Amino acid sequence: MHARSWFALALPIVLVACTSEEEVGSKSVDSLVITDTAKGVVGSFGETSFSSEMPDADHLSITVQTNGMMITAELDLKTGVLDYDGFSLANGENTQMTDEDRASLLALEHELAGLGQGLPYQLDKLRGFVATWAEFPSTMDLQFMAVSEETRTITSLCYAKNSYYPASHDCQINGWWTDQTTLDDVWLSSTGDLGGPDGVAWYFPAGGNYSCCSGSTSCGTYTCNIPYAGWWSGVEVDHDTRVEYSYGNCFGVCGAGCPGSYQFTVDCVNHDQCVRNGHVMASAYCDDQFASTTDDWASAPDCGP
Amino acid sequence: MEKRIAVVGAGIAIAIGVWWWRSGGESDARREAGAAETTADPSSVAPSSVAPSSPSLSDRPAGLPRGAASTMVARPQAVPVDPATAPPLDGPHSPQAAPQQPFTTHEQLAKRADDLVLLDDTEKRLEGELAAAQQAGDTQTARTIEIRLERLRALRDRRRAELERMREGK
Repeated sequence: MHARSWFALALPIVLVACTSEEEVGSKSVDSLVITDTAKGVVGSFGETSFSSEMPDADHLSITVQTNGMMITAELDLKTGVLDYDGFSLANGENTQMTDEDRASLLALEHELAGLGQGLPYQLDKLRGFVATWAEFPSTMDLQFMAVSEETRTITSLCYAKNSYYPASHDCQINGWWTDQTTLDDVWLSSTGDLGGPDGVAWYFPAGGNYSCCSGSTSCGTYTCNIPYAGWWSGVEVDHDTRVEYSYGNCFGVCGAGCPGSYQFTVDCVNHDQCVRNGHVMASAYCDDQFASTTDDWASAPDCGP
Repeated sequence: MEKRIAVVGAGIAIAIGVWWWRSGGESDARREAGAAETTADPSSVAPSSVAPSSPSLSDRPAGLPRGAASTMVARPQAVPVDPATAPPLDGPHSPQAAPQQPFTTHEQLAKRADDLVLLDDTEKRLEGELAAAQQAGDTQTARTIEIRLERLRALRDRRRAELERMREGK
């Protein structure tokens, strides 16, 4: 059955509109509200509102409004062409992604991920789009074109799930596939958040001092001490050439959130490796890795949990 | 003397206040600043990458040189992982996937032409949605669609010009 035809069947079951509010302390916590329309879904979560609709059989249109910003995606399913835009709702001018925006999108992604698997097409793609944009760096233009096409711009790693796979990035320290910028052995799996700045574990080959990064939003390099060889979490390794093994927090899965989808791709494992190996999510050094992931949510196959 | 000290103190306080206000003001005005000034590479179909604008702002607290230990941020400590839950070091290794094949110039031109069609289609759809919003008296939605249309038309004009230049080999 084609994914899009699930929508008509699953819609009455999945799209339960929740309008209740929980009071937590003095804060009002809004629930996820999703309403079906003739062409897809519209909804809100707190101050964030969204829509994901198919105006016709060949087009998907997504909008998200949060923190005074609107982001849009227009996808032509026949050609794989994607057009993105993001702007200030106050005056229509260009804007940029901030930590606050990423946090809002991540919160929405968590709610959407909670709906589970087998979602209607429009809702599933909305979750993928939001998850990807929850990792959008602060220095990239929000208006750009992408093309989503298997083997040309997307390389699925379903075949590598539950195995080790190499990942790399380029940055101010060195180029692609150098020892400093490469992890030879990333375990691709759906293993969840293991704690620490990026939720991953590392295998340290011996006890001693290693170069580490202090956090996922601001990285101060410091020396972390490892008492003895083995797998350790709670820290982020910073381009230390002695460390080659890592896993956890859905390493290699596209977008923020774990579990969300199970789209493992080359572009996404490389981006994960960039932001988890000495760089923060907002880092400009990971912009090119991120740019390569921006089409993967649209067409990469889901490898399953 | 005491009077002078009081005047100087007041001046410092005002200076700090102005600095504080400006810091917050910049943050609040961010949405209106037109922050992203980079543009897509017209010769490429894929999204453009953006050169780091300021390394010191990218990963580290401002003013903290690379390699210097931060005294302002917490230093997470390592926590041992139960080896039984970790993947075995001698676990399977998958071969690297074949490199992605870049688009040829002909394919780039075709994708860019497809993009113009997508922008045209989106414009028509938004015009219909705008008319519906105006008819329903939904001024807020109408304003948002007007903004989208304005940006989309400007973008399409730019992309059309870029495509023409590409076709001419410029």
